[in-house]
Amino acid sequence: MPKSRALLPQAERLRPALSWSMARLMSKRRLRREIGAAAVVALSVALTVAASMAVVCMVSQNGDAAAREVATPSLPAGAIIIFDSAEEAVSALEEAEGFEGIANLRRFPWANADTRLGPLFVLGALASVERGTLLCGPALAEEAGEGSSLEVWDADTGSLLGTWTVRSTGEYLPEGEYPEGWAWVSTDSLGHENLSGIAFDVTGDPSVVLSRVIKLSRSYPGAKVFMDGFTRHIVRKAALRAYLPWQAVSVMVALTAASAVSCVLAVSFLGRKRALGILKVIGATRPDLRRLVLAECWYLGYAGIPVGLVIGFALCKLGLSAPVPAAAFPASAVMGALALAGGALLPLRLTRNATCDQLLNNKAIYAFSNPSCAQCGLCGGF
Amino acid sequence: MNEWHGPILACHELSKFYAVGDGLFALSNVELEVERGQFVVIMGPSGSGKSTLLNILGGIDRPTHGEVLLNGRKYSRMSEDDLAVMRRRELGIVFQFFNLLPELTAAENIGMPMRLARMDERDIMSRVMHLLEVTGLTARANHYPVELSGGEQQRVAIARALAPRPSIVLADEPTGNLDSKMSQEVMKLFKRFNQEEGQTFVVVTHEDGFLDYADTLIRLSDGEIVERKVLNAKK
Repeated sequence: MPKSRALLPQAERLRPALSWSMARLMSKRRLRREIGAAAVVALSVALTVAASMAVVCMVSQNGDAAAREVATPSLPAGAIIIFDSAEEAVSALEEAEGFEGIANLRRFPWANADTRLGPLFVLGALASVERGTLLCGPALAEEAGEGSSLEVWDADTGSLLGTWTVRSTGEYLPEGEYPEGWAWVSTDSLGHENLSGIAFDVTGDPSVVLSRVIKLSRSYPGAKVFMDGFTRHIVRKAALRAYLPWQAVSVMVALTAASAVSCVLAVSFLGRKRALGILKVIGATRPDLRRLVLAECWYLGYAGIPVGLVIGFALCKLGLSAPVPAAAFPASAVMGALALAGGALLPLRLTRNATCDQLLNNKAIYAFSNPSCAQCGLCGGF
Repeated sequence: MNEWHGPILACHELSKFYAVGDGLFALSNVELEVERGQFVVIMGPSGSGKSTLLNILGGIDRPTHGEVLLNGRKYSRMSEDDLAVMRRRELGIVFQFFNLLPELTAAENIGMPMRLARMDERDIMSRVMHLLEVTGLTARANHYPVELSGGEQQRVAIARALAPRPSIVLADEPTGNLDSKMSQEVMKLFKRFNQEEGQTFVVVTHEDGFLDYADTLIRLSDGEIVERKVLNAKK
């Protein structure tokens, strides 16, 4: 008897015979015919994209500024500078030429404190210091009066913000001995007439550093954050850690959407087993069926992703009042595409494993081909 | 191009066992040879294994034991993709329930096997037009299957099976879902292609009318061939 042999070379069999145009035509007509199922998948993709955009915006709003400014080389007005040590801070401020022009602390009457000292108040709240306490260096505390009450006014609106208690930090401590969350205000800096920034010597946990930087950034919308050397390194690490929850949320959103898309695509696939079986009968190979599934996904993404971008933009602007960075658009689109691709994995797997007999005669298809399972038919299958 | 001079389709010691209950042999040691241009009709009571045999001959199902050869090439152990490639070039299959692709028009359904066989688009169009004309469906070319009657759908299915000029056409109860008038039309169509184009047919049917066109009758019972009768031998 003659031997069985492949009819076509491997490369030829792997190349789909079904053209993209025909696959798209078939998918388009099928989706139009089953518009309900198509709408559910497209909506899942759209919601994934919208949720991703919201996540990106939240990340951007809450922490991105700190990491972004790490690399900024110059020292513009209103800078918040973080140094690795008090000595570095003092020497840098004394030598820096960038501290000119803006004198937001020049008018520094203690009884009418510039509200931009707000971050100090925030920092006090972060550390184990009672709210309403103004931490400052010994010289400053002496000037203001240790333990005295200060009425704090908003310089712009003239309204009374509250009463703070001045508290000295005491003598400068050696580096590394500051309590957690403590910030040192350089008296030299504050006394400098042309000062345009505040210098902090930050110690403690990197995540505390980051949260402090984030809060400072919020309080000083126009400010830049600078840091050098080791501080930059720990802030980067802290930024990464701070983003992790958001990244986890993003992944969860994508996985949830992918499972929803997967369910609908799998149901859709199982609903047309017979049609796919017919295609196999008339000569379609696995790459042809794969192309058909991918064409369908392409259409669902084509409809779902732009809708998701619009919903996401509206959500960020109107719902969250958050700025939408340009990167949010491609990032969200990629998330939507990934959800769609993830959702298509199961149908693609089933397409790969399905035999003509299983498709045509509505028999169970197994995602993991195990001949013994296929024989007994008692262990699941699709 | 095809240098094989033996039987176009053959099966040897073909058996199909289903492991249900105490086990069931749907086919048992079936030996069959079909020559080029023959019109073979397979008949038998329900459950005799006719459709199982046709499914195995069409590469849709696989035998438990035995071998099937098309143009001398063994294919019952081929991979799914090789089987699909073989079907697209060598086999046309017609089903009882038409099995047209619902998202394609009549003309697109007929052209699909040729597109899968990577034939030239002009050849596809001319072949589709010819088949539409022969089957009397020219006016229905752009209609979807749901817009066609049962008889029209079956004619489209036959045209689709014949489109790539396969070595053999297998038909499983092609008139089983049609009224007598439509059945006559379908039988005439089979006869026409068999006699005019020398197309080889293997038809599973309950319809006695096919015997008028058949060269060979094979009768199955309980998975075994119980009668083999030459009705109208051809050279």
